[in-house]
Parts: sequence; structure tokens; C-alpha cells
Amino acid sequence: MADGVAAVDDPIRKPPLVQGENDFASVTDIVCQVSETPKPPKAWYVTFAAALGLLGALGASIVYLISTGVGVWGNNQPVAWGWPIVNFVFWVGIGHAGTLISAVLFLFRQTWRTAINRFSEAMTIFAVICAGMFPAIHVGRIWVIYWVFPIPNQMEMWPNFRSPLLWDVFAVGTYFTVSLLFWYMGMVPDLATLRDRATSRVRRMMYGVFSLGWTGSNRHWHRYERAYLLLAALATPLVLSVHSVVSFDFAVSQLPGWHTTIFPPYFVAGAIFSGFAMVLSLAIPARELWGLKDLITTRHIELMCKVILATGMMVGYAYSTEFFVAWYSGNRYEGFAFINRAFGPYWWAYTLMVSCNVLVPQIFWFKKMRTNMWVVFIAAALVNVGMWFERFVIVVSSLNRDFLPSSWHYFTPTAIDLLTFLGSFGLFLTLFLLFCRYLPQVAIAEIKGVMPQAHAGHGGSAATASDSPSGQVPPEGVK
Amino acid sequence: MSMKTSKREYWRSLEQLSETPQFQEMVAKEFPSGPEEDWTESSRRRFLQLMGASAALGAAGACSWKEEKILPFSQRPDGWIPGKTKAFATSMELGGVGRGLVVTCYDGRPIKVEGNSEHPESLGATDSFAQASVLELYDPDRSRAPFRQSGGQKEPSSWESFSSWVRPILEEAKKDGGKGLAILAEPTSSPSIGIMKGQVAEMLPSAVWVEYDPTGRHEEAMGLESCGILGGRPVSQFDKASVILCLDDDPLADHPAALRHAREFASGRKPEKGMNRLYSVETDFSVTGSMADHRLPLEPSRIRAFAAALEARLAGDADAGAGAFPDGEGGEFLAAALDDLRQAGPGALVTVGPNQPHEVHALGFRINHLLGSLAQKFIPWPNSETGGSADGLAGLVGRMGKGDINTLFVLGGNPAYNAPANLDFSAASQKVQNLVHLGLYQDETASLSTWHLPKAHFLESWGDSLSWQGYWNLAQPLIEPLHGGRSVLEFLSLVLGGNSRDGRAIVRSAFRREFGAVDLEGKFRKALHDGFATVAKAFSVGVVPEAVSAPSSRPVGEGLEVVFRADRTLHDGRFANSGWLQELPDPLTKLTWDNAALLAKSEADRLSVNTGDLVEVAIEGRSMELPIYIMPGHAPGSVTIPLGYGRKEAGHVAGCWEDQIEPVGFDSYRLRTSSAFTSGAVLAVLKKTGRTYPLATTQDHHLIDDVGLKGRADRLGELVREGDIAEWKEHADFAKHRVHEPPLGAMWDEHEYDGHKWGMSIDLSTCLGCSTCTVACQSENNIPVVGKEEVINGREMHWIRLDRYFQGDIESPEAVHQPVACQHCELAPCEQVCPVAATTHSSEGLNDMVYNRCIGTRYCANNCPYKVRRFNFFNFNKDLKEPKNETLKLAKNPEVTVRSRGVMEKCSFCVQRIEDARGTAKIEGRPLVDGDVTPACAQACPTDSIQFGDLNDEASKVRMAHDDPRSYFMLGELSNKPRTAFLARIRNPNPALEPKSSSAKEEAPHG
Repeated sequence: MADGVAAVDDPIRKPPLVQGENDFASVTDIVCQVSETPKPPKAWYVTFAAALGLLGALGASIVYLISTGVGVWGNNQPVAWGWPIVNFVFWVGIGHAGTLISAVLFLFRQTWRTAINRFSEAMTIFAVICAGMFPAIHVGRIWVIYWVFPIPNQMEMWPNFRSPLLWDVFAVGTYFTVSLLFWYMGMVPDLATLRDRATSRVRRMMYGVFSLGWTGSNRHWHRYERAYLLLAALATPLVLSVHSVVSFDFAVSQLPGWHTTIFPPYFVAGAIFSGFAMVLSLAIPARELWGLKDLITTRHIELMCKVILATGMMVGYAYSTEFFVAWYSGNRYEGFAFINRAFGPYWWAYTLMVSCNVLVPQIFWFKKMRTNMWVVFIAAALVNVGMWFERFVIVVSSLNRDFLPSSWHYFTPTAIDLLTFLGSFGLFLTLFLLFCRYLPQVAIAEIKGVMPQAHAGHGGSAATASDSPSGQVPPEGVK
Repeated sequence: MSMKTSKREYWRSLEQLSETPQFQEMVAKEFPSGPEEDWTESSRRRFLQLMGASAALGAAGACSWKEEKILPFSQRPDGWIPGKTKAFATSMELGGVGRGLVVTCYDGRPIKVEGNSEHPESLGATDSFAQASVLELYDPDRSRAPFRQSGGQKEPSSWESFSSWVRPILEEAKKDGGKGLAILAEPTSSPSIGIMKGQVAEMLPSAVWVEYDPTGRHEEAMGLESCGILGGRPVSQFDKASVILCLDDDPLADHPAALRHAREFASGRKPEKGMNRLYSVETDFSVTGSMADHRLPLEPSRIRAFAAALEARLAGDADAGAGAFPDGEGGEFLAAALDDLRQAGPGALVTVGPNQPHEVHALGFRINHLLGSLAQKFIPWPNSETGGSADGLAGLVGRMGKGDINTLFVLGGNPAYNAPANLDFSAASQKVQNLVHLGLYQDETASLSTWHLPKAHFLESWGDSLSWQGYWNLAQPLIEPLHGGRSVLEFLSLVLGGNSRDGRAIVRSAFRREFGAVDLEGKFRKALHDGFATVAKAFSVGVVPEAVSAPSSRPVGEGLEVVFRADRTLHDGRFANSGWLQELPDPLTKLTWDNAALLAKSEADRLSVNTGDLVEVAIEGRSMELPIYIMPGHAPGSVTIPLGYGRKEAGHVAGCWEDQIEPVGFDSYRLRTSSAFTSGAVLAVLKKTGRTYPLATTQDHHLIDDVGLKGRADRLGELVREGDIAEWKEHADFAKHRVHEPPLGAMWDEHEYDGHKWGMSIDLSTCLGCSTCTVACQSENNIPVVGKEEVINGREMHWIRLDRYFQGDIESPEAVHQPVACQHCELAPCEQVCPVAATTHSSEGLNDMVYNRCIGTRYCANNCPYKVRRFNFFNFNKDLKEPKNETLKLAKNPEVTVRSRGVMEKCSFCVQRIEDARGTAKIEGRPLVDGDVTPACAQACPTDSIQFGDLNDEASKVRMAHDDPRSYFMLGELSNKPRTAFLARIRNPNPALEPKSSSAKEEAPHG
């Protein structure tokens, strides 16, 4: 990567988005070899085995939960929502970056996104799957959970449209659907590439089915581009809406510490923050493991670090605003909620949260830090820890001491809480590792559009390439 | 399975079809042979039909149900409507004193106990023991059959074998006048037993009859005796008292007449009608102490000195006790209380607690006499020769140890568990050849006995008793004895006559002795209907206790003065196997499922221990480990140890040695010697062990940090609004201004209520915090018991809880109680957030909880500012499925759903009672009127602090309470519009002691 670092050093010229001696064919090779190589790297097997183990633990803990009752967790009165909801918000937050990267950055013509969008969209899908699981299993009677859907029924009962939980169902459901479509649609040309390169019958069949008969004709490309743009436009408001609605679960209630108007933007900023941190946590090992360094370059990592720095400061600003408003409102209970958050029994969680979310990203002011993969990886992991604790602080420290001191009760998680949480990582990693192995991790077709070769007739510089939307100049066919 | 692999075209039999041996075996058994052609038709459908039929038949053959016949009444008994509840009056005896009750029966089974509103000692209220008696009746651990024990072998037996066994023994005993025969009973006021006791004495003149009650009022009786009243008892009339001083006494909660005391006291706590003033001098924080306007924590020896000083000053020695009580250490208190009592004159009342030695009781009577009090009177009291003291038992055990006793009948009671530790009842009982135990449970004493016989529960048997004021209570069976038990009455009659007579006849004949034979049936039936009859018994006034002997001073030596007292929720331990009572938080400590050594904060600091630390408590050479609980307001220099825990053979709730169920709590009887029956008579040395023990409290679960303490202190004045009488006189509506409420709007259109609009009010001035409402609610609404671990986890299920707060100096704080149940908010935060609309508003203003719609998101609980919603984290009713717990099902109220896991629940304002009253009114062709609907909590409340009714009815009590200037809505500033109004608590402090009390006030800020 030495050459990559050198290229970044020149402030006048933006370095090319694809590094190394690559042409269209080699880019295709780099991405496709991941799934075409007969044996993935050993590290893949090790991680996959660990992920499957955790997934098994998740399954076991869910079976135990459903057969025994919600009491297997640490939830109590007054902390009726504990780790499951913390995990839900955590995963939804993670699942935020994908669509932001693919849709919002697409609309803003941020061509550097092409290297990481597929990757982060996949992360989104899997994170939202993990997120969606938690509200489902945390209810007391999962066997009637379909009552939250507005399905006409013999009881002639609609769900309660005033409940933010119901809005949640719609918001997360819509987000998941659109993200899935966006991800899948964007993958069709690449699937066709894999299909065309496939040597075995099974691979041909599978990729063939999912590439929907893509031939790479002009008409296909034309429609694809239009649909992609439309879906991007459709997904963009969802990026903002999903976490705003998730924050309504808290903001609409009247619990001190939850009932604040700052929550929607604060949650969205936090979600982008944690989402990018998760993308980094995944991208850094993946590019190392699969040899994708030419495509996911140091510049990409740096740019993401900058996003983390910016959103981290937004989150820090939100923390201080909360305190200010709690004091300024003159509301006794609100004021107490925040004092208690920082200095009460959960002071350690609050301290951890502020340290990880506000202090740790400050190192990204320094280029040396941004380009040191170990530092970035650890910092991203810490940000994820901090963001988990942010949700923990919001959910638990507000609930454990609300209005009536008689009901105050400390919350302690159980081993099952921990197992379920770790198990959700198992689910996430299992899905993600399968994705890495069998699907194109980088948008082959799109990335070709940002290579100098794609603009040979227009001066051939990457700088000009960044002025045109990705993939506008289709590379030669789908090969 | 074999279908594909085998080449057969047709199946010949199921054996061939299915190759599992179990299946073959089953089919072979159930279908030995079948016509060939029926089995040969080969189709998947046919196969499944046959499989299904086989499985069903196999299952049906495997279990056998007891054959039961259900027949309709050919002629329905008069007034019997299936499914319609009926109420019967009866009474319950505890500590030898009867309490009037009304029991609701559903299709012949008692399901709910209420107070008897016509009974002058009940006034419609109950205590928690009576409320929980339904659970005791149906307790699956109750003794189910007699057994005979020899050589450690228990042999199931029957009443018939017992009769034939006991007859020759009694015949033998009669020969020498009953020498070597003893009866150990619980103190009782039962006139029938009194008569039979006389007959026993006639028949067996040398036999011994001993009564023992570990928590009785023996010292009080002795105090009266020392004043020259033999066989009498004091009757306090709180409604006639304007200034009350309680010396280590809890007359409002721990007294056989507590219900009347509480009602009378409450009638003097209405600022509109005049306020009495209550002083309390006590060691431990009692319920009465929490109601006091002025409370002085003193260790027992100083309470004795306080009483002596008070008496001496009244007798003329103006400086008496000045040395013992200098200013700042109770001097002002003594002077102010004395002045106040003097001024009150006839309206003064001094009461003394049962744990005080008889000298202090005598002092108390004399103080009342010197003050000219008209609020304390004396009435004669039968059967009180021994009063259940430890001395009587000591004599008996001494004789047992010497081998003088060869036959001992233990009628109720559990001496093996609760006898003084120094007597060693168990060892002495080994020398008794025949020990016969009649008891509700196969308890510690049953294990020592040669014969154990199941006792009938009071709800299963005939009986009689006297109330504290001497009313003649009758008890009638509400159900046939579930386990063939017999009452003490029936047992005695068996002993006397050789065969058991009808309990009704016994009770009726005693009744005839008192009330005469004229119109006996009419009088008896009326007394049965009413539950009691009035006995013409004059108050014996005019006792002049002359100079009384001075009480003893502090025992010499190192250590803390010890107070053993009956537990406030388990009494002496007899109710230990009641889950309701185990889980009922103590009114002051909020402890459940345990007892602990209660210490003052300063004393705990001296030992450097904290709540939950285990200490070794050594008293006179005996020692055991006990956890510490720091009790704010406990007197330093002393330790209070509640009794009633640590049962090894109580049952599956409280501890069962046989089934390896650990005892709940600590058996403090092991420390209590005969000399430790009065407060402060012995000293205890506490030693830190360095280990801790988990205590389950429902409030202040964890030690609160400074942030929490400050937050609590800041808001307390807004949640529980208090003022003194002067403030009330100035601004009767002061409570409304404790919090500034912005103009409150509503986000939705509010309901309009054309019909009823239910609401509640709770008067904090009179709420004692006694927690009877919690048990009443538990019984009425089928609320499950969750156990100690789940209480620690914060998952208790009580629908109404008593929030208890202390304010002021931790060494001498004031306490307040606030009952909190669902407030049925008009703009309920819970209703708006439920995604499936499982909690909704009714057309009459109730916040309904629809269990079968609830999916258990628990969002409602998060959004409830009062945190009254309770979630079924597990299936807390799982134990009902066990066959041995079949009887527990009978305790359930059929009108209320038994909730399963995963659903939320909370107070429903007893909606089933509203609907029942509506139905009754409709049948009677009249509108619902105020008083038709009373929720269980309001009905049980001894002080009538809870009112319920229609807010649309301008004349209703609840509406008047809502319109009272004292009323306020807790957290009303949130715009929830709660339906439950609290009436601010008014204190009546003595202006002479004002500075102290106002400084305490400053710490509890105003909004």
C-alpha cells in the first residue's frame, strides 16, 4: 500500500480511486476470484466456524427464551426494556451506513462510494435482519406478534396507529425492503458476470437465476441506470426516516431522558457514525483477506474516518445539548435524568460512551492515524462499543430511575442477555461471510466507471471521472 | 418410512407399516386383531386415519380419571344461584381474640375474606392475616391425614384408629385423676372451649392445662393484675382521645383490636373535624410510629425510664427524669408530651406495647388514671389465668423433662418451633410416652409426636370466640373440611365423651348458657347471620392503680438491648407457609421473604456493617447469624429481631426439611429464652462476619447513592404532599400549589362520560401503610406470588403497593406512606403507546387491560410514570398444573382471569365488582348508587382511606374527596389527568416542639 499512501499525499491531484496496474479485466478478476477460488482463505473457515457457533448459541438462547419467558433476561420493573432493545437500536444504527453510502452518496456524486457500497449495503441488510429479530423475540407472546401488522382479521381489530412501536414496524420494514431491492438490483450485472464466468453447473444455475437474464444490452443498461437512480432517490429519505422513527420509540414517550425533541437528528447522526465504524471494522479485514486493496484503498478508509470524525462530533454536540436543555427546561425530572446518567449508578456506562464516541474519533484529525489500519480498526471497534453503550445509557439509565423513587431499581443483565447479544453477531457474521464468499463484494460494473480507462476519451483523469455519476459509461459488456 | 423401501404392494398390518417396536407393542395391545380387509386399503389418508385413531386410543387408555358424577339439583336450594357468590359471617381467632369476618363463597367454596361491617371490632375492615386465610385454607401443604409415629416411622392412619387408641389411655388416666396427662393449647377466648376446659378439669382433676402464645399479651394482663384487676383487659378508645402517647406500642396495626383503633384514630385525623395528636416513643419503627406527629426513638430501658418519669411528674415530682432526659435527648419531648396530655385531661390516652414488662403497663394505667383519661376502660376477660406466658410452658416442660408427663395433647400451636430456646421442648418431649398433636400442618411439633391429627381450618369448622371488647363471635364452616380435619372443639369433645360431637351443637350449647334458652334458635340464627352477638358486659371503670413498682433498669453488661417481636407479615410464624404474606412487604422495612436484625444507622456504623451484611448475634451464650437491615429511626443501643421465620417443617413455601427446601429467613426463636420475652430484658453482642446475604426488598433495592438521595429528596414534597394543620387552616388547598402546573392540553379528543365515571381517592392523612390492601387485592385479583429471587429481580406482581418514604434525619426521620395503584389516567400514557391496543379506555373511564390482546411489548410499563404495570416475566401460575396443588385452584377468584406469561397486568379498579354490582342493580331495577361498588383494597382498608365511586355523582364520597381542597393529583403536571386523587397528609405537630419538626420540613422541600 506504500504507493497508495504516496498518492494520497499529493493535495493537488486527487488520487485515482482504483490503485495499482489494473484494467477492466483485472478488476473483474480481482472481485470474481473471491467466489471462484475453490478454497477460501483459512481465516474465512475459522471465522465462519466461530460465527456458526455463535449462531447456534443464538438459536439455543431463543428456544430457551420462548419456552421459558422473558424473565430469562435481566429485564425488570421499571427496566421493562433492557438489552434486547439496546441491541435492536444498535443494529438498526449499524444498518444505516449502507443505504447512506449507496443512495445518498450516489445522489451527491461521491464516486468513491463505489468501492464500498456493495459491501456496506450487505452489511445493512444483515444488520437490519439482526435488528428486526430483537423486537420480535423480546415480546412476551411471540406467537401472536403478527397482531402488530395491519392485517384484516376476524377480531376486527386494527393495531394502534398512535403507537411509535407500530411506526417502527413500518419504518424498519420499509427500510429493509427498499435496501434489499436496492442491493439486489445493483448486483444484477455483477451476478451476470459471475454467471458468465461460471464453470460449474450449480454456479451457472444459481447465478443464472438471480441475474434475471441480464445480457448487458444497452436497453438493459438504460433501464438499470434509471431504476437505480429512482431507488436511490427513494432510499434517501428512508435513511433519515428509519432512525428518526426508531428514536420516536423513545422521544414520543414521556419518560425523562427519552422525551426529548433532539432525538431524531441525534439518532440519525449516531447511526451514520456507528454504521461507518462497522463498515470500517468489516472492510479493513476483508480487503486484507481477499486482496481488495486496490479497490478499497487507503483513501476510502481515510474518507470514512473523516465521516466518523464529523458524525462523532455531532453526537458529542447532542450529548452536550441534552444536558443544556435538561437544565434550561427547568424540568425537575429531566434535570435529574441527566445528572443521574452521568453521575448515578450507571456513570461507568456514560463515561465509556463519551470516551468512545467523542474522545476516540478525535484521533482522526491526524492523517497518520487515519492511514494506520490498526489504529483505524481499533478506533472503529471502540466507536461500536461506545455506540452500543449509548443505547444502553439511553434505555437503561433513563428507565431505572424515573418519576417515583419507590420504583427505582438497578438493572443487571443475565448470561442469556449476553448470549443473545453475542448470538446476534453470529447471525450477522454468518450472513456476511456467506456474502463475502459467494457474492461480488465490490460493484464490478460501477467501479469500472470510475477508472481512468472509462474516461479515456475525456482526458483520462480520475478527477473528471468523479464528476460523472458512477456507471454512466458502461464498461465493455459485462465481462 | 418403509413405504418406499419395501417392495410390498399392500400393507398387511400396521406392524408391517410401522417398524418401531413401541408402536408395534402399542398396536398389538390395543388392536389384537382386525379384519384383514380393513387394513389392506393402502392410501396415505387411510394410514393417517389409522395412526391418529391408534394414538388417540392409546393415550385414552393410558390415564384413568376418577369417576365423578355431575348432577343438577332436582330442587335448587332456596336462594342458591349457581355462579352467584354468597357471603357468610364468621370469625377468626388469633392470639386468643376473635375478629369478625364475612366470607364470600362461590359455589360452596370460600374465595374471599372481608371484614364484617356490622361488627363493632371489624367495621368492615380486615387485617392481612384474615385476608390471607383463604390461601391457608387451600394450602396444599396442609396436613391431609392423621399419622402415627413410632420409632421414627410415620404410618398413615385414621381418626377411627386414633379414637380406639386414645380411649383406653383416657380410661387409664381417669383412674388417677389424669395425673401425668397434660394439654398444651393456644390461649383462646372461646366460651365453648372454656366450658370444656372446665369439664376436663372435672373429669381429670390432676391433669395440667397449659396455654402458650409466643407473642401474646401476657405482660399486659399481669400489669392489670398488679393494679388489682384480675382477668381483665384494657380497652382503648381512640375516638375519645385528643392526645395519644404510645409507649413502644403499635395499637393501630399490631393489636387484636387494631382495626377499631385504626378507624377511631383516623376519625380524629380529618382536619375538617379536628385533629388528634399522636406521640410515639418506641425502639423499632412501627406502623403507629409512622403516623405519629412526634416520635422519639428510645432503647427499651429508656422507654421504661420515660414511663417512670412521666408518672413521677404527674404524681408531683416536676423534675423526675430530668437527669435521664436532658434537653436534646428527649427532655423537650417529655415536657411537651406531658403538657399536652395534661391539657387533654379526659381526652388523653397512654398505651403500652405488649413487649413491655408488666411494670410499664401498670405505669401506663396509672398515668391514664392520673390524667383522668376517659379513653381507656377495662373489661373482664375470661380464660386468662395464664395468658399464654412462657412461665406456664416452662413449668410443663420441666415436668415433661422429669418424666412426669406420659400423655400430652398439643392442641394447635407449634411449641417445638416457638418455645423459649432455653426450655428445649424437643428434648423434653422425648420423655413423653404419648404426644398427640392436632395441627393444620405436619410441622416441627408433628414430627415429635406419636400421633398427628389434621386440624380443621377455621373456615371449615364451628367455633366461637370473644372480640377484644367482649362481643360474642360465632364461626361457621364455609366448606366441609377438605382433609377430614377436626377443630379443637371437636377434638376436646372426643377426649371428653369418647366420640366427637357435632361442632354446631357444642357452640350452640355454649351460646345457650350465655343467652338463655328463650328463643334460642332465633337468637342463635341471628347471631350466626350477624357473625356476633352482644354480651351485656359493663366496663369496669374506676380502677385506681396505686403506686406501682419501678421498672427494671438496663441489664448490666456489654451489648445492645434486644427486642423480639412478632413479624408484621407472618405473625409468630404460623403464617409462614402463606406465599401472599411472605411476599407482602413489611410496612416499614419493605422486606419480603426474610427477617433481619434491625439496627439504627449509628449502631450499624459503629459495627461498620451495612444492610445485607451477616452478623453473628450472641445472646446469653446462644448465637446465630442474622443479616442486618438498617432501619432509619430505630433507637441506637438496641436491636430488633422479628420472629416467625426459619421454619424447617412449614411447607413448600417457607421451608420443608423433607423435600430439601431451605427455610425462608432465620429462626430467631433459637435466641429467644424465657427471659427475653420483654423488650430490653437481655443484651445481644453483634459481631461482623464479613459475609453478606441477599435481602429482597420491594423498595430501595440497592443502597442509594448521593445523586439518587438528592433526587429523591428534591421531588418527595411534590409526590407526597404534606402540611401541618396551621398551613391547612391558612390555605386549605396548599397541596395544589406545591407544583406549578402549566395549562394542560390534550392531544386527543377526550371521552365524554354520560353514565358513570369511576374514580378513586386516597387520604394520605389516615393511610397507615399497614399493607392490608395489598393482600386483599392479591386475593381478589388472583395475583401470583413470584418468590424471593424474582422480588430481588424487581418482578413482584402486586397491583397496589405502599410507597414508604423517610424524610429528615436518618436517626429520627418522619415516615410517610403512599398507596399507589393504577391511576386510570384520562390521557393514559400507556394506552397511546401499545401497538396492538391491548390497553384502552372504557366508556366509564377505566383504563382497561385486555390480557388476551396483549403481546407483551412492555412499552406501556415504560411509559407509565407511576410504574404500576406488572409483567408476567414467567408463567407464575405454573405450579397450578401440579396435581398436588389442585386445592390452590380453589383459592382463585373465578371472576378474574388467571394470567399466563408474557402479558402485562395492573389494577383494574376491580372491574369485576363493578360489573357484579351493575348486574345486581339491574335485577333489582334500580340505578347504581354510591357504595354499591367497593374495590378490594378500599373494602379492606382499616382507616377507610380509600374511596371509590362515580365522579359524576355529586353526592358520592369519592366526588367529595376529589372536590376537597386538600386533593391533588400526583404528577398531574404531566397532563395524564389521573383518576386517583390523593388528599394531602396533614400533621398536627405540637407548637412547643415546632423548631425540630420545621427543621425536618426544610429538608423535604416544597415545590
